[in-house]
Amino acid sequence: MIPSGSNRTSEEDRVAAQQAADRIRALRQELASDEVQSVLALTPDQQIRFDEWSRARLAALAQQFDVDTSTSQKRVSWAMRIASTLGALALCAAVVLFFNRYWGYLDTPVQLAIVALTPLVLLAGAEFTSRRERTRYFTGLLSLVALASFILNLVVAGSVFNVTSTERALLPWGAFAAVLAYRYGLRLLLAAGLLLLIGYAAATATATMGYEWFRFYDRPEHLLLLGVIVFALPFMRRHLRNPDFPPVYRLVGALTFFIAILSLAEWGATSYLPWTSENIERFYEVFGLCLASGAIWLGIVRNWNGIVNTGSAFFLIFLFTRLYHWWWDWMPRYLFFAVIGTLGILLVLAFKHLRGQMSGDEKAVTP
Amino acid sequence: MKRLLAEGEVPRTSLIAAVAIILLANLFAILHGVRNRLGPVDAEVTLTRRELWHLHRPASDDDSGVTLRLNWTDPNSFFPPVSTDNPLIWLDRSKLTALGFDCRMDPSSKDAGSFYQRQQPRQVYAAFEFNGRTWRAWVASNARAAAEQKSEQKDPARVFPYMGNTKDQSRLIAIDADLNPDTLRARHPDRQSVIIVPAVVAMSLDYYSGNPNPPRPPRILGRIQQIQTSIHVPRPYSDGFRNPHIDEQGPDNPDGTYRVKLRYGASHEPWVAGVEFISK
Repeated sequence: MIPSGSNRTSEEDRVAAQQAADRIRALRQELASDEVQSVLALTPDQQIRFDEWSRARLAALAQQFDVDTSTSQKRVSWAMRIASTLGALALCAAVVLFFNRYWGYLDTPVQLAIVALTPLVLLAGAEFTSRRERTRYFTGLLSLVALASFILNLVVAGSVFNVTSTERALLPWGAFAAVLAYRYGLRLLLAAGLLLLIGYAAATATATMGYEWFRFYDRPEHLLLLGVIVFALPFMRRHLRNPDFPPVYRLVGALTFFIAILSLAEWGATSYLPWTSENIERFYEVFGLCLASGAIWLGIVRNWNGIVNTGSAFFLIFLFTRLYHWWWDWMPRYLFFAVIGTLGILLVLAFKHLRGQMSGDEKAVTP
Repeated sequence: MKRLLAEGEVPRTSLIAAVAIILLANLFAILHGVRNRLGPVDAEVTLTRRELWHLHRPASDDDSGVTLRLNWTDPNSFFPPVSTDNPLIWLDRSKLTALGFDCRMDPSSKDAGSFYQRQQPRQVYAAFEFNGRTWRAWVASNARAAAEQKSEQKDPARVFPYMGNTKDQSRLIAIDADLNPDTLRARHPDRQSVIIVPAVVAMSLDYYSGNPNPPRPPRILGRIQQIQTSIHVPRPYSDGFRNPHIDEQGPDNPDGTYRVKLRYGASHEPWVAGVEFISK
């Protein structure tokens, strides 16, 4: 059931409304097809009542939640999303370049005041637009520019005071991005916030051990652990207001995890494991292949499309990397690519078989 | 009495949190800067263009700020390839061990390469002396190495081109390092010529790039990999650097046309305390 929202609808309501609109639209299309009409023919009176009801319901959903009620609208919405993201990135660059262009002519207190006020003003702008639009295009755009301004803010403060480079700034940046993401239901900001916080945690661990913080990527096992933690966070906290956030956690966690494994499989010298680099690399290659297969299985079982795609992509990367190490040096290039192509075809056949089995499973459970 | 939220209304807590994050981060940054500058001055040195490079940017450049780049000499990492060893190396195995590096393995053993490859750069404090005894020793040893290479190398085309040329080089030379800045200051109490700064030290196996006679086994050698090099120049000092002739440097004035007084505070971070422009 779709709750009747005020002007400020929660992300949960909007997602549910979009799903309801999609279902009604699909039902209208199916009922209009000759095949369905041959087995389920509505009387003219029923047809008129259904048309009136579905049109009225779609119009109400569109008015109340600004959802897409046609395929064309969905395409336009995607275009708007891409345009607002690109616009936000361009505005971020504009803010940074504009400040850089003139800051040298300002006194230090004025420089600090401007960079501290800019994110506050942009935050006020994001809050203002969020109260007036049901979709989040302008709010998302202003929030992203607010985050960029806040990053500029601390970079300038650090530069003015000649502060020694430190990982500490990653914490407020990540926290700010996460708070904005939760307030306005913005997935891009959530992903940015999670990446900044992962960077902060890894850099803090590196600095605490006496190493240079910026080389936190030199200890991929820290990132491996952090990837698992981020992946598991949605299990600990339910996202009732933002039901589309758990996939972001899972995707960021899985990407961090698999990139860390891939890095260790390529250069084992950075590992904590007390083995030779070569053994560490082989271990992580096999580990990566097994876990990528596990991710595909988990994604299928839990219906997590993002994890299925991530698992599949990394499974292929690990497999082809291994084959490259085995064969590239001694096999003629044409033969190497021919083998890779054949393997690709075999994988397609295997996935096709798996897909067929899943369809059979679903039939079996249908009463 | 608590006001009930309207349906769909988001609580204000997150908005307050976002504002608080911005304000607190700025407050911490300003307090950090003020604490560094208002506390006791750790060191004060006056440097020239040799130590502080100004990269001139045209007025049309996207960055209008003025930044000087601190340039230093590390006697551990740069020495001409000659038979005689560099006498000024101090970042050796014992010092690196004291700085937290794991130097247990014999550098001659067959596993030494992979063992030391795993040693990551470490964060320490380093002492740099300006135009002092170490710098003069460096100039002398460079001159000796230049003469030695000239006599060893039959083909003049293969002589290292900058041999013995130290007159443009930075006189700010690394002399010591420690994990504790106070211990380092106690060892080098001269605040007018020795600055102490956070630094990143890296280590590697050194296989002697010259032709040591007799041949020597590999050794463990450290180097200063990184220090804070960007020095922001605030107004009004920055205005003078907009003069297009400010970066002129010739054989008669290797020190350039400006002197910058740098102060290092309680956090070992610098700030520009004065600039003197010298007209030719």
